[in-house]
Amino acid sequence: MVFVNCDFKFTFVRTQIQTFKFKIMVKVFKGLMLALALMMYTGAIQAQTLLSDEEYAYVTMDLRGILDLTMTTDPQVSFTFATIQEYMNGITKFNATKLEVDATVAWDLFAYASTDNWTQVQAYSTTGTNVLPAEILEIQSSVENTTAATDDFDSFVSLKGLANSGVALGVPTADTQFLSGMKGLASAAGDAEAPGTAYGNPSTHQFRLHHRLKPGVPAEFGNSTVALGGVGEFAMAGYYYLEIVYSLVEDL
Amino acid sequence: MLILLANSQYVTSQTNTFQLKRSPNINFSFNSVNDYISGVTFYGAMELNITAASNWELKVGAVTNVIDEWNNVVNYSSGGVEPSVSILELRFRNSNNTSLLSGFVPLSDISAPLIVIGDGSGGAGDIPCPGLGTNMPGSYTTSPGCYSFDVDLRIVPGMPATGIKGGVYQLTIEFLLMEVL
Repeated sequence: MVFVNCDFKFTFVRTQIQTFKFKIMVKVFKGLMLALALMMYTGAIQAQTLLSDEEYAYVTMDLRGILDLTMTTDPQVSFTFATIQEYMNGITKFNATKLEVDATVAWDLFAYASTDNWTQVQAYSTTGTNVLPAEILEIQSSVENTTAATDDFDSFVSLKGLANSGVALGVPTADTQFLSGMKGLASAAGDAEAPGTAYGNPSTHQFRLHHRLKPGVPAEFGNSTVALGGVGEFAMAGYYYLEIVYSLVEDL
Repeated sequence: MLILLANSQYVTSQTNTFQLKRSPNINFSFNSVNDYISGVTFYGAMELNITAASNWELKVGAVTNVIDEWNNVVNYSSGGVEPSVSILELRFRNSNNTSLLSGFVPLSDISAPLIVIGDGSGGAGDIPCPGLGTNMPGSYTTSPGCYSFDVDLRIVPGMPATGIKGGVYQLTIEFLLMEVL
């Protein structure tokens, strides 16, 4: 009996355990179903939201304005006056300076002397004046300036000295002599040359400059727009130099 | 069993994905006339790796503040005109030449994107690898010749008579991979 009782108790306990296990299984099953439903729901959402995918690349472009002025000839142009004929007729250096312009923006090209007067390096005599204005040098460009610039180099004209050119700190004015373009924005009342390369635009972006000095006898440089000094003043024999500035700028 | 179900569901949901390899930041710099005339090209600037579980389309377009215009960050000059996004050209390459875009093609706004794969409306049909316009399921890991693209970028500003306004510009290229239902 004791054994039976014991067996009964055991059976009772086992039955309780089985019942407990069953309840656990039911809960696990419910949990599984809930999790499954949740996953399916989440998956459905993902399936809808992942219909497309994007990637992005970021591009930066740095466009520098390019202005290239190239002198393809010897930058030094020398004149030697050793005969009366040379004094009388003057000396002309055709194509003495060649300039090429490459530009990615609209541009103006102008020229002026860096000083008001020639610099005397050596005097050969004691008579005459050694103050020779920059304007005794005449320059003509092979390219006509088609803008309404006040001063240009379409024919032989005196090169303006620094003060007369109006250039201050490299910035031109309406008095400045322009090889191409003029003072003022093309978008306003001014004008400018279009971007381009010298190779692709030889008629507008390549310049051949003729230089001329005509002292005369006495050496008064009658073609100069600025007189040498007083009446009858003539140039002192000597060795002189003058620096010419060719300036390429974005349309101003 | 729960884990298996979860994984199975996850794979099903992740239909088409792709990755952008290499630097997503591309910097073009134009410092000389030669740069302007000859242009600057970045070969293999980006690599697109695609994994698709269903048919797909690939589109690309520019994202900017104003349609078809680069975002201007800095101005160097007052003259000239600002460049269009079409100045930037793209070329998609892979060993099987599956891209529908041949050679360098000007970029357009994302509202009118370039179609690299597909017909833009999901009606291209099934094109298996290695056919032109391959759009069926596959992965760059097993078929890189059909599911991986090297992207070349090129800009040739040239020397337009109007001039290009110097400055720093930016845009974003959006690559869009879409499932075809």
